[in-house]
Amino acid sequence: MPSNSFNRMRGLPLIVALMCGEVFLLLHGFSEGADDGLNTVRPQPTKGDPADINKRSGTGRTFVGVNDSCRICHLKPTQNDAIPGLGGTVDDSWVLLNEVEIWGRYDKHYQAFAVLLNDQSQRMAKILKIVDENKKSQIHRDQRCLACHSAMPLAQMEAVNGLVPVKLTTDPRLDLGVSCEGCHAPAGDGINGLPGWEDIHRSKTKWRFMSADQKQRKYGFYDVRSTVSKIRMCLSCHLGNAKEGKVVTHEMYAAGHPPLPGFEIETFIDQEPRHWRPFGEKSKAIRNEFLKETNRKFSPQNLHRTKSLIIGALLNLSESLKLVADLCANEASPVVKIDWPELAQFACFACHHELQSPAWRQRRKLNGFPGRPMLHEWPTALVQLALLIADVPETELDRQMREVRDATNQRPFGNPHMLQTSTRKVAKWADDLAEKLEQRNLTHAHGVMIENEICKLAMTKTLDYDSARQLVWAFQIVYSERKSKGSKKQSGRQPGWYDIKKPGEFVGWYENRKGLDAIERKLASLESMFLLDLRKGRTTSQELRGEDRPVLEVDLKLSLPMTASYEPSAFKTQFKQIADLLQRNQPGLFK
Amino acid sequence: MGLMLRILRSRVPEFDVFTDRTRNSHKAATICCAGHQSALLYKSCWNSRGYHPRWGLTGPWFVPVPRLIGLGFRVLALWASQFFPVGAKHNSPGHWPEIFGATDSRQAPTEPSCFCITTRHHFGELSHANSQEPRKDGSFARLLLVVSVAIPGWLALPNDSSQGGEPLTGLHRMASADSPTDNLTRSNGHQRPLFKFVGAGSCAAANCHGGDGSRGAIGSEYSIWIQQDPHARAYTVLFSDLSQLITAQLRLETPAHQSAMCLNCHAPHSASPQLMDGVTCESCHGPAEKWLKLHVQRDWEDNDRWEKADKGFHYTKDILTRARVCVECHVGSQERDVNHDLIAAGHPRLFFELSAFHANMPKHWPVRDDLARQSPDGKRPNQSYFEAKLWAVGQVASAEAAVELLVSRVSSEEAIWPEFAEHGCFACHHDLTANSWRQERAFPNRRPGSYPWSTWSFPLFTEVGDELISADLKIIQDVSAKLEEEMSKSYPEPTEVKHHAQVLRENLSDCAKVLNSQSYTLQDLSTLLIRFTTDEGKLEPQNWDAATQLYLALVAVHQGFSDLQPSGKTQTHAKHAIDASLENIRKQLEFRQGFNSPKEFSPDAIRHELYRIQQLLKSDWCKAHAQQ
Repeated sequence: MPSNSFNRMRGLPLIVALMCGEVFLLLHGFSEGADDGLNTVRPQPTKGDPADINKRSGTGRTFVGVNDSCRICHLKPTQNDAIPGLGGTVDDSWVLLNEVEIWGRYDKHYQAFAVLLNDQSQRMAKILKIVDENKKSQIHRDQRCLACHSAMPLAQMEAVNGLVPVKLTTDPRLDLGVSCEGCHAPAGDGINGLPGWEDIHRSKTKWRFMSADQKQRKYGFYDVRSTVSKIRMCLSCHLGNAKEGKVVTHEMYAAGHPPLPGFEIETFIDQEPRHWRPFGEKSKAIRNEFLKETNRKFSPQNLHRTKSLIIGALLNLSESLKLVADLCANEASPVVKIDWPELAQFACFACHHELQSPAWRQRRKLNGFPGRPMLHEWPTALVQLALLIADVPETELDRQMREVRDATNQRPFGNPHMLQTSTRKVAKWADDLAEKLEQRNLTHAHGVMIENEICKLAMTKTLDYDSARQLVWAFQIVYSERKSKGSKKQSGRQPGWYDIKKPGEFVGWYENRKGLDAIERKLASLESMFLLDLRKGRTTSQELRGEDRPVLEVDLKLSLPMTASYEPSAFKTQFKQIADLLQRNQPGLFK
Repeated sequence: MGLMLRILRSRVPEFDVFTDRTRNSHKAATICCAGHQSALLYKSCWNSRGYHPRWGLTGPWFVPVPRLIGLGFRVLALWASQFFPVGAKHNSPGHWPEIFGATDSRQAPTEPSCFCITTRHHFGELSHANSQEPRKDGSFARLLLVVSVAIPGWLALPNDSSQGGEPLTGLHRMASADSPTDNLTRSNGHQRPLFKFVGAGSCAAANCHGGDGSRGAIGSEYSIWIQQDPHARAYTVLFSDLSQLITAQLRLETPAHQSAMCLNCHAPHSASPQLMDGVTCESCHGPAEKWLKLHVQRDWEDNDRWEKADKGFHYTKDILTRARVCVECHVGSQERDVNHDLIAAGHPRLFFELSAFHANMPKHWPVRDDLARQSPDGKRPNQSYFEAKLWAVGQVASAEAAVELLVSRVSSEEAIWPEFAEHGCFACHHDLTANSWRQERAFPNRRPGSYPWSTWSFPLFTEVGDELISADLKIIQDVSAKLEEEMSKSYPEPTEVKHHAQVLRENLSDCAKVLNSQSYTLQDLSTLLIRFTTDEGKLEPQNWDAATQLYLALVAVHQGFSDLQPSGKTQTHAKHAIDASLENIRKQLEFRQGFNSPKEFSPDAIRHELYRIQQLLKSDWCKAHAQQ
């Protein structure tokens, strides 16, 4: 083909476009993927990338398992220096390096598989008929359970008829519960030669300052630094995600599954306990180095946890509505076997209560219609706080939810079509607002506003048990953060918060703590009304692969009676006292 | 007075039959307002057609003339009564008069109530009748005046008891009626009554049904009803706080006492002005337009029940008819639907069981007659299986009504579906507890967390049917199993449900007929009792509904069993012990103070008592058998 100027120039636009794209990516990278306190843009899934940001198993990487890989470095190696040719770990206190210890000793995620073998699970297996021919429980092999109770991607389990092979149940990759890759994404190389993040993340120079978007796209590493991504990751199990096959159905609840408590990100991080230092707790030198390399700003005085709390409020709403929409539209993973209406998507205790008349449920004026089940209430409990910070009028939530309520009021379990469309609309609104809020910085004044708003909500609205508990948790987070940031001595550690170096001193909900002020004492007393420390339970042990593993089980005898005996009027009275104390500390607060 | 009575006795051979009524009427006569008839006059009262209600229309044109003369004298007496004031002092209920357009009951018009249809005033008189004041108002003088007019007229009448009244036609009877209520006089929402409701005013005459006898006394039915029966207050409850809460919750525009949804049960036939009657005579006995005049005639009892049904009269002596009349409201029908919306708004739940409700109702009829009719030879009230049969018929009638209600719920255009009131209430409405007895039982025969359908209307009847009835109940069991399965889904498919329910309804209807005609022996009842206490399969007290139905069945059938014992048989020790066990079960089933649900129900305690009862039954029955 004779080449002429036209042919030569044919490829030019493409080249120019590619160059522009590269430059763009280069620049874009500098504003990507920082942790809390740094304004974050959540990495967007690229076009053509089959991995939906929510689908961990869709990263295409191989699940390696903590035993084979992570613990070598993250279980505090004895020597701290790199050995030539063999690597090693250099601890410059960027990360703790004893994450596996914290997780293994204290974190209930480690026990997530072991609980599938306990008495409660065996009872569930009998009721759900997930038993073998000898009537022995096979529930620890059921994918519907393993979707949440293990870290392994469902697609890599080689399951047959929903049950994983027996040999896998003794594989440490499975029986170590929700391990590292459960949240950080599978680390090994993919089957198509896609590089995993296992190797690359050992290199400080290449990894530490890489943008979250690049980490995700190139290496399949899930971004748990940006607030929105992190919360979404947690909610995928703790609330549910239909597309990932993580749904607790009403049938499971009826068989004995403990009710999922309303999720609140910062409280759950405290109670996990977390195995990381937030950015503000890292050393100053490390912080400055990072800020310099990534060209960002960070202000330690800002209320980062509070910001995370309000973003969490919006994501609670959006994820719960997305779950409803996916189940209603039959767009769940094939692992999930439900028929719509799925009762677990509706408020549990709207039905499950003894009948009394007069009753507070009859007396409160909701937008519902008598006899029509409503969606869960607790996801909307804290949204007003986010609206306050985002300068959105407080009637906006009602306006958004009106169509959803009309759908659920129209007939029992709602008009499916209307429910789908309305819930997706509100979920999108909440997502957009959450991403906008991630750019904000919350100051001390915002913290005060939020505390006031919580008190107002608690005193004026008649809330159900889970919603009220959300408010208590939220108040504790905001109050303790504000209190610590307000003190002259700026320390990374908030008073009353456990030292991450000594996680064994984790003290639960104000238990055994000294030097509490009046408000904190009041918060501590609320423990008689709510189960606020979710780590309270039964300590047992479970035998696995010849070893006895300690297991901290949910004790329903503690939690369920509290729900049954909850009285909104008592809650309002308590919060009124907290509001009075607040006002005393800051006169002229409630105008 | 004695002379008069003697004259009447000679003239009216069957006079003695009406002794009660006469006695009452005599009393009534002394307290009647001026111008209103005495009982004696009533017996000679003639309607406008000019025939005697007892003696019928006979004779040539001048027959009515004495009547007219009598009428003239009565009008004169009426006029004269204003000089003997009686009504002025007593207080009629203030809210009644507006019905008749008068503003003051004391000035309410006293229309001549010659024709069996007296006015509302009789109610006021009735309340007065119950007061202790002696009547000192010249009423005897009035009586004399009036009677003196009546006697000549009466004596002039020929003694002929030919039948009078409207010609009967068979047009009103449905082709396949197996019970008088199958004809269209039953005012279901979809079956407009063919006959009119005239209201209870005429029933309330002191000399008719408004006497002051005790319960069961003939002639005092209205009095018992108005004073003791909760049905009489059914309308006034619509003004209560709870009713207002319900209408507020449901965001209704009209208040409860004007809302058709409420009035269809609480004041049926509210097209008529007698709203405040509540659930009145005609609600159960049928619209009286055609049979009101006829039923006072002596030859009324010569009609069989079908002929009475032609006139719109519900033959409530028949147990199935009685049951069907009750369940129309107490279980529901097309426009009488207490659904979950209504219950969530505050309406009490409908838990109907015929024998229990029957036992608690203040009876305005002689119970001995009921007992006698359900005895081995139909004549022995002291040896009767009535309670047991009432239970059995009540079960099938409730089931029938429940299935019919299901069909109407699923077929309605504005169907609220799924309808939660179809299912056991307490399957959902209970506090969640750790390792509850529900989980212990592991949800046999249904998916965990699915709805249990109709735990109230169905558990027992289908299981013990083969003890009660020679008909094959298998088809009922099969269809109800299919229906249960479909209804347990979180969204039961309406067409499937409708199909199964319609088949079930047909079969239940047939079953009802057979059950209604059966009689029981001691053997039958004792076997039934043993079955109830076997505690297996569907006869387990697996939830509160099933346990309560078991308890009520045991009480009713045990009562029937005891009543059926030959008289003279001494009470055995076992009977007292069984009664004590039943009382224990009742205590277990009771709701705790302040709750409307069985917070502390546990099947094990019930099971224990059932086992005890079975042991006692076996010992008792063996002994009885040995003695016979």
